[in-house]
Amino acid sequence: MTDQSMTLIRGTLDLLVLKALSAGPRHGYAVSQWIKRVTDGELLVEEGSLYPALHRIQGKGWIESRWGRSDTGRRARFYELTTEGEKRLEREVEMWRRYSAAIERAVAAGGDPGS
Amino acid sequence: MTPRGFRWIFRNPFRGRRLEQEVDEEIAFHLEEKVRELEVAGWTSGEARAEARRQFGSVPRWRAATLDESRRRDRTERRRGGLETMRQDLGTAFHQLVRRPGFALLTVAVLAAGIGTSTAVWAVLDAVLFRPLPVPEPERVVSIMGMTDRFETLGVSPANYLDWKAGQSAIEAMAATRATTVTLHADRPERIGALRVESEFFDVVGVDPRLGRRFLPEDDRPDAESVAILSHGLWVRAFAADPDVLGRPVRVGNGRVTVVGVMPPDFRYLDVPVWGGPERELFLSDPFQGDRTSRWSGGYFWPVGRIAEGITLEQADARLDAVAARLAEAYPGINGAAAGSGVLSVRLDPLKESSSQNVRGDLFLVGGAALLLLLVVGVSAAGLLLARVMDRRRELAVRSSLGAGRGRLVRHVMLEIGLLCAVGAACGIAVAGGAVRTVRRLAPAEVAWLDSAGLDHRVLVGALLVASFLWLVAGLPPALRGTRLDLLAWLKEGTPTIAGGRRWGRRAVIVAQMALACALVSVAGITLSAYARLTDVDPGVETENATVLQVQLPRSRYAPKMGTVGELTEYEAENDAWQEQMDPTPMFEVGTEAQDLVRRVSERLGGLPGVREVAFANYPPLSGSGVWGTALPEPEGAPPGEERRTAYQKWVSPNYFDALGIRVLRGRGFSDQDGPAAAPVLVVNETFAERYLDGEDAALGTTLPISEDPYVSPVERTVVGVVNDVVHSGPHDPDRAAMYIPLAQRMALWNRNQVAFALRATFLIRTEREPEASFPGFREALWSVDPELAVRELRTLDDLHRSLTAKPRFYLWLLGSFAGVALLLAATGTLGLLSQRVHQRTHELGVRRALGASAEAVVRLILKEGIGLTAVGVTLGLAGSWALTRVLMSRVPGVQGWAPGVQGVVVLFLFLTALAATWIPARRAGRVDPMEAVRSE
Repeated sequence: MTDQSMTLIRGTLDLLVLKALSAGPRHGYAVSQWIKRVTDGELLVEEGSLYPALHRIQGKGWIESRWGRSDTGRRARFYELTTEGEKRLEREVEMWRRYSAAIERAVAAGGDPGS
Repeated sequence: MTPRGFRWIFRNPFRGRRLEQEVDEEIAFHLEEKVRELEVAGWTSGEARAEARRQFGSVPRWRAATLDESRRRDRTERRRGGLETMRQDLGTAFHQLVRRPGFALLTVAVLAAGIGTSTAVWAVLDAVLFRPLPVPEPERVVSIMGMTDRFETLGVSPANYLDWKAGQSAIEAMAATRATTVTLHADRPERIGALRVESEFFDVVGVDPRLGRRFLPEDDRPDAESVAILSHGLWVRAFAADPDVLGRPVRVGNGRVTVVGVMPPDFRYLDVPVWGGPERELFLSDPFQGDRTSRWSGGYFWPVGRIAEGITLEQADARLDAVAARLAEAYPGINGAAAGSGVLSVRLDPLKESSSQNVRGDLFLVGGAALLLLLVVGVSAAGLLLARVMDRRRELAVRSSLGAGRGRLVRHVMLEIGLLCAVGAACGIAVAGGAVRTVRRLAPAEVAWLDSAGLDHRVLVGALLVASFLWLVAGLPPALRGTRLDLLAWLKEGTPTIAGGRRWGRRAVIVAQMALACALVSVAGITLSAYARLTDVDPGVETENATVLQVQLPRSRYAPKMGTVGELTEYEAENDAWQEQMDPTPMFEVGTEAQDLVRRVSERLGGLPGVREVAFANYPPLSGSGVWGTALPEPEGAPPGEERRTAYQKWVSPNYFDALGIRVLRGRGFSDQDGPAAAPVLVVNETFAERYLDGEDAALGTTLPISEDPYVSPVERTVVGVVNDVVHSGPHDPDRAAMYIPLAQRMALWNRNQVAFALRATFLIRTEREPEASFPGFREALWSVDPELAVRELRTLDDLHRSLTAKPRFYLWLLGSFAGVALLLAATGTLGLLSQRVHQRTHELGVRRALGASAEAVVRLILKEGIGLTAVGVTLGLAGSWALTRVLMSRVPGVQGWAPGVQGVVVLFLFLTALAATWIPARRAGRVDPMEAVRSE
């Protein structure tokens, strides 16, 4: 754990989880590895924090879970997007785009008043 | 649809464990996958393990957080699932009911009848018997009475009361009360129920006046000025709620009392009706009325007390009994073993209980009948519902095969029945509201507290309990039985059958229903015929166009005190102690002034237009009140007190028999010649002649020693006539012996306890037409002679006769409606069950027909079963009613056990119902094409 690592902005983990599952059912470990890979390990400093999020999101009805076999033949819990989750993902992505673009513009703009 | 049912009940305790295990397994999988990957990348096992944990973060922390989320999710899901199932079931249940509106309506009607009657009866019982008095801590307030071997309840004499009070500490406040009826001269003279009380009375009830003050210990002193406290109702009615009434002197009887307080509106004091109604509206000081020394076993006090905190009623009773036992030893001749009535002990009853003592037995009887009716309702409803569930067994089987567990099916059926019960309860409560109003209107006035009966929260809780009871009793058997489906049999045969003893259940219900209905209806019938006989008795007088005008002459003006028993009479008591008690008792003279008043009022009344005749008596006939006492000395050699020769005493004007239409059967009536100077004469009624004088013929000419006042020497009177019996206190008079004495020959000297009876005056006015319109004229005529006389009673003789039979008629009506409802229920229930049974056997009957049985044979087969079941039920019912009748015989006057006529009608009716219930479907079954019937399954 390094001090430079970014802590997750609240709510973005949901987006990442939904995105991770958009390609198909995955177990928790796979989701965590996907997030690490696509963010170069910048996010999700502690992998354990993923699990409360998974269960919480499931409570909202965006994903559902069932037990299945992993590639290595072990019993694992697989998560899958629900129809509602798919719609949610679209909205989250859309919102994130607008949000980040707005922040981006703000950061790029000069600091002088009135401009 | 997931099979849920009741399984979650069993799953629940282990559910938390399961969630934990799953989370643990998930985390373990994560860590192990990571270790495996790292090992593949060349880490050593130990390092890989450490690295995996480092990347995961704190396992306990994330595990706990995950578990939290997991549990929360589980809870919401479960709740959502339960609600969803419930909503679905409710929807289905409603749908099912609407699809068969006839069945739903019938069941609701049955349930509403049961819930309605039970609720109404409960409302009455609660108001009269159970609901506590409107005072603080009512359970501590008791009525204190005396009791001996011979008398269950006795009033208390002043000296005994004072010793009881002083000798104990179990009752922290005790007050003598003395019920009386007084004339209040407010606007017009009015007779009202009053209660003389000691000042401690207000500690006993724990309620203080709303206006003014309570009685103080000073008010209890014998020389204190008389003070009064008004009930709120009286204050409003007689004083127009005028607050200035406080401190004002008011005329009560012939004296003046100062009003010092007005009680709050929610305080009411009701008592067993001694004279007049049960309500006491005026509280007066000084119950002793100058007498603190008489020590009879009985007395005029009905003391009340508040038991000290922490002491039970039994303990208080025991301590008072100890005091009474000491007194019995000290005064054996009056209170002890040597006294005629036996050893005196103390009886404590909760005050509420003692105020409704007179109707307790009757009400419990009604309560019992209501319970029996509730059972009939339960069985009828169970029968209907069972039939309904059986009808739907195919649908239930389909649902079961689709994965609905038995629990879900039971819940489903129960929900449907619950819905019916809820609607039934709502309708039943509405029915009860009307029934309670009717009961209040029809009930005799003697039932204390009945006017407070209504649908309050206690009654509604009762109604809900009844509804839940019916829900379980009527719902569970069909729900459990109907859902025990044998799927295997269904798959094999295509007919879903109910597993195990399927015919037995419904037969039992039919039999039980028949038995209960038969028992209830025949008992009700027997009671009804007994009551009907009571109301149907010839009163013995002509009641049409006759008016009763009753007044009480004030003692102060019409009966001057002459001296004492010791001075004026030759009375000899049984023992010295008794004599000592007797001697100072004052004696009064009821003389010419009273006679004169009677004559003048009679003349005035007789002079009014439309009045044919005016007669006089001390008490009216059919009124239930009169002077009753020992008429003749006990026969020689009879054990003392064993055979008392008692009779009602009436002093009448010479035209009394004529005016009232009483027939003189032997000898003559009275005439003007039977004056004070003439030979003393007597007329007796049939019962008197039969019982005491060897018959009517032997009676004439007999000379009897008649004592009008027990302390005055008897007068020898010759029987000159015998008249027919007149109903006195009720249609079932246990003792109707009566004797008539000419008013002009009435004894003049009276002791204090008796003089009030001698001062009672009743004018019987025979008119040409209905007399009601003349009532104001009658009053004016009375007041024109003496404006201070209070009218005690002014009503028609017809009215008096009606109220005499009010009580039997009331129970007649009550039991009659119960019997009607029960019969109706039995009919509907039987009809439903039997026709359903035939329907169920269609397949079997078809097979029989196909095998060559004739239509007639099939019909016969069905009829045989229906009649057989009815016969069993009716037999059981008759046995039950026989047992119940034994119980009733001790309770209801006139019930004479078996009434073959009544029972015959009941049995016939039930058989006819059963016949109708089987005949119609049986004929249909007989006509069905055999192949059709077989195929239909």
